[in-house]
Amino acid sequence: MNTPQDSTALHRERIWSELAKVARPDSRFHWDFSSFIADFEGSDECARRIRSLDSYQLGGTVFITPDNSTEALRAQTIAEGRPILMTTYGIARGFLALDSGTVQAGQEFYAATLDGMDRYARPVTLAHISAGGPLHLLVTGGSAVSINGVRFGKGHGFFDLEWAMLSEIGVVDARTEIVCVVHDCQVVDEALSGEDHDVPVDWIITPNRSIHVDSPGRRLGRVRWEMLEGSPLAEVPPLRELKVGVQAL
Amino acid sequence: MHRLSVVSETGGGPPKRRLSRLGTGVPLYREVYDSLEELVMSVPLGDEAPLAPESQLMATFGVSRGTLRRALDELVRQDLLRVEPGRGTFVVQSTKVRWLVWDRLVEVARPDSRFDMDVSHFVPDFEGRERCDAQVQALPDYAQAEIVFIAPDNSLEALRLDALRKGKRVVVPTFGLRRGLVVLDGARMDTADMPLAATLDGMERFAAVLTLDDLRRLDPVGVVLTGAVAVTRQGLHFGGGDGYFDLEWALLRHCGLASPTTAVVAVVHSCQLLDVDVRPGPHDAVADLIVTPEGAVTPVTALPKPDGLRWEEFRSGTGYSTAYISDLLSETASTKLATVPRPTGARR
Repeated sequence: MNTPQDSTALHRERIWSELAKVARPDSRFHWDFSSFIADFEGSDECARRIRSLDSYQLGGTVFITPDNSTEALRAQTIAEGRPILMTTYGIARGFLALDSGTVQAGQEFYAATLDGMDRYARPVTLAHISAGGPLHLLVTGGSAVSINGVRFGKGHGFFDLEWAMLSEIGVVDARTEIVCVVHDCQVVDEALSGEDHDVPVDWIITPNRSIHVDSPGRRLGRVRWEMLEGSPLAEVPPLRELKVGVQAL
Repeated sequence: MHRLSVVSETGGGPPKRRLSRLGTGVPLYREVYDSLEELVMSVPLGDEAPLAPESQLMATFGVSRGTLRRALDELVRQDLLRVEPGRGTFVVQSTKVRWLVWDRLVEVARPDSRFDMDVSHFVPDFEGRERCDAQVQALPDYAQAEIVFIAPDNSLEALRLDALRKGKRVVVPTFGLRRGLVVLDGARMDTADMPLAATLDGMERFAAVLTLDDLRRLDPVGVVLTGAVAVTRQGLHFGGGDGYFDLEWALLRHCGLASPTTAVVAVVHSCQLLDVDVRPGPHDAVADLIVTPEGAVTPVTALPKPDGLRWEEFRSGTGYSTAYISDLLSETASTKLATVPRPTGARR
């Protein structure tokens, strides 16, 4: 019998070999899909599809993970002058806020890269994020996603942790939508059961399909401190902030 | 992280200390490992004497041969120690240099978009680097060059941008040379695209990876700019550990893009400039000029640089087991060009 971990690993491996045909290498990690979420042919089409979602049309800040596959969406969001909230790679330096108004015309694609983000975005505390009000839309890439919205990342649980932190400070709720941007080859056409801490998504957006997941059964997250014990991840700025208590601004 | 601590030495020998087996929960070999590391790191750089014999180290640390060997093996695996059968155990100076400098460098480094402050994975930009840029811009070799080689180090991103804005062509390897090299043409690029093109994330959007034949068709570069983990006052360059820069230099020579007189300029923070005498190996592409925020240093003795590819001197495996490099490998193996010095300025 396959444990959830086994089947996750199996799907990841199989999909990574398919993905290699349409993916773009990372500037640092080359083709090592265990270290980054790859961009792929058609990710700009995903960005256009996201533009038509109600949760995007609501306006306000969009949270976008620092994946290569969500870069086209960041460029589009910047071009539209919308604020972006993101994390640094591996959450190492916590959250960054990008005021798209500070990006000069013609520099949207630069600002949308991870190298460029460092130029244009500024670090923000959970206190600042909390003061900024609710988020309607969170967008993440993935290694794979099942048709019922169970998402696999690189295997480090970064997005689960981001969801947990945003939940803890009360800027996401039951109305918040989560979108997963993937290539068609990353969609697993069967219903998989997630684990307790998984964060199922509302929408699967590929270059060719917009798949709505009916009642993904997502709960608000909480930081599971016991899982972080001894991990360098426990020392990232937002978790240190959360540990001592986020101050109201 | 590696600690930079000085062990108090008594009588010139290794420190006398007995390790505690109890109460720490740390495996004994691990304590020996830490103590050996401290010992090795506290000896001045350039001191190439072998470690004390095993029997003496066993007595010093009060441990069995098995425990000592386990610690030694681990340090060999970390590449800090090297065993030469019949001669003894030696410190790998290049690893020691890296460990020493990494500890200082994190204090002045600017984070990478992926590796953050883990400077063992990349050559970081650093505080005060802007003062290096101005010095490089004033160099005639740079100012007059139509084509320049600039390593894919974060500390050189601003100079890549500067070169593009001045209409130069910039030859830049992909990170770790994994996908070969590209050439960015500042004369044919929209000014608005240049900031992105100067980054590692952006460069491949504006240029295709060059084949070896493409490389040979380029004009020689006017100057070679590189960052480093460390550089000695003699110009010996220490990169991230896999010899990428040495390989890049060898490649430039192999393809006729650099001559023995092409200047290699290393741009580093002052904490990366070492006042020690470490002998270069045959594949070391030594710097002709070292630029720091506090000023430039010209190495007193000009050391010769390798004239082409000598594969046996590069470590196999790791980063450059790519199609690009295997092409190169088969080419140099079949033609023996690798070891044949070519006349200065020879073109094909």
